[in-house]
Amino acid sequence: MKTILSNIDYVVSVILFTIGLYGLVFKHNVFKKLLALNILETSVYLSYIALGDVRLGKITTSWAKSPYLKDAIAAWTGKEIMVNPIPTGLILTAIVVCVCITAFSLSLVVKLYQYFGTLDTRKITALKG
Amino acid sequence: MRKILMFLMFFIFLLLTIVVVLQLPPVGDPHVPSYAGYLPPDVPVEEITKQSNAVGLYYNRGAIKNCGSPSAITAMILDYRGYDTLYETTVIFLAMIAALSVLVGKRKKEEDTETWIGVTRYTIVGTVIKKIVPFMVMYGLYVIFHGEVSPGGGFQGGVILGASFVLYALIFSYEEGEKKMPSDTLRIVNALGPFMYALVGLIGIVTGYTFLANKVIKTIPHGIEGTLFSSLPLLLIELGIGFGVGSIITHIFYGYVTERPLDTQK
Repeated sequence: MKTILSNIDYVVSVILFTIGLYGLVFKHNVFKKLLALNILETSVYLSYIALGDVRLGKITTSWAKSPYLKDAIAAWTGKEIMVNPIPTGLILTAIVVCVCITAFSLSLVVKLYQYFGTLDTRKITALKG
Repeated sequence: MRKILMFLMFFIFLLLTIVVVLQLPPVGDPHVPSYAGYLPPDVPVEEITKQSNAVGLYYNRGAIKNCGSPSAITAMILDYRGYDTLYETTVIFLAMIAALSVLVGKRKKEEDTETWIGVTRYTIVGTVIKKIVPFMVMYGLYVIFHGEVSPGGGFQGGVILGASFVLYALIFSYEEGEKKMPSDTLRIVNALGPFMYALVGLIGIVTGYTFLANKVIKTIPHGIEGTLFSSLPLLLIELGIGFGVGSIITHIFYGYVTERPLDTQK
């Protein structure tokens, strides 16, 4: 139980990943598949941020001007520790790529609905064959 | 039966991954390898590079000294990993072009504001949105300008800017939003992100250094901790990315709302 509580970020990330994978496999609506893909990507963000995090670690080097309570606590307790900036920076790239994928896929979904009149993958494949 | 079996498979997958994840060191433990490390005030760079997590430590130590930005994350994505973010802005620009090239339908002229899906006829919503949108724009500009001082930056502030225009066009009609923020203007501002980034990178070449050598620009005081204009090149890049991303978000929204089936457009 103690390990679950200390690793709760990873556990929640894994649960989100499974939910996203379930939606990708089981849902027949293309739009719902897209939402499931977004949930899956959120789980990846969460696991990466949790990897680089440090308890009471600072985010910026100038804690006096920082709006974050975390920085103020870290400076107050005298712990000069900082979170790893690399996972956070990588996840910024991942978020932008996710936005791009979602924007382009939604335009394709709109076109799909216009041509087939439905978003059900079973009906779309039936129309094709 | 088959569905139950598949559901069971997902459940077993979940249990297995949870068991694996519990083997990891606890979140926030300072002894994990990905921890960026204790930050002693005067440790030479040679000592830092000996450690296993040298890169994160180096970014944290050199954020002020090399880039003039107190926020280590901004310094990392805009200066140390500048090429990454340059092509990231190019990717979001290309995604907008791809989405708008797929959405070719045109909203008809006779569809006036009466048929809009929004809630124009509710007075309270319209009044509140009219009051709240200027503050949203101001907050977006705040996040963009403070990107290199505090957490935040061009992408986040740009999305807030774009969301304010999207909200205005969603509540009032598309035509009203087009009056406030015309798509002709958006078409020019769209490319500002990659363009500004490449322009700031070219200054490094002109002054005799390499591409994207940001620290050579020393026209204003550089590297003062906690001040707003501590790093001019990073601020220029943030401004370009912020306005570019905001206009891209708004333009993609315009593309969606003007989309109509091909057979109905004349």
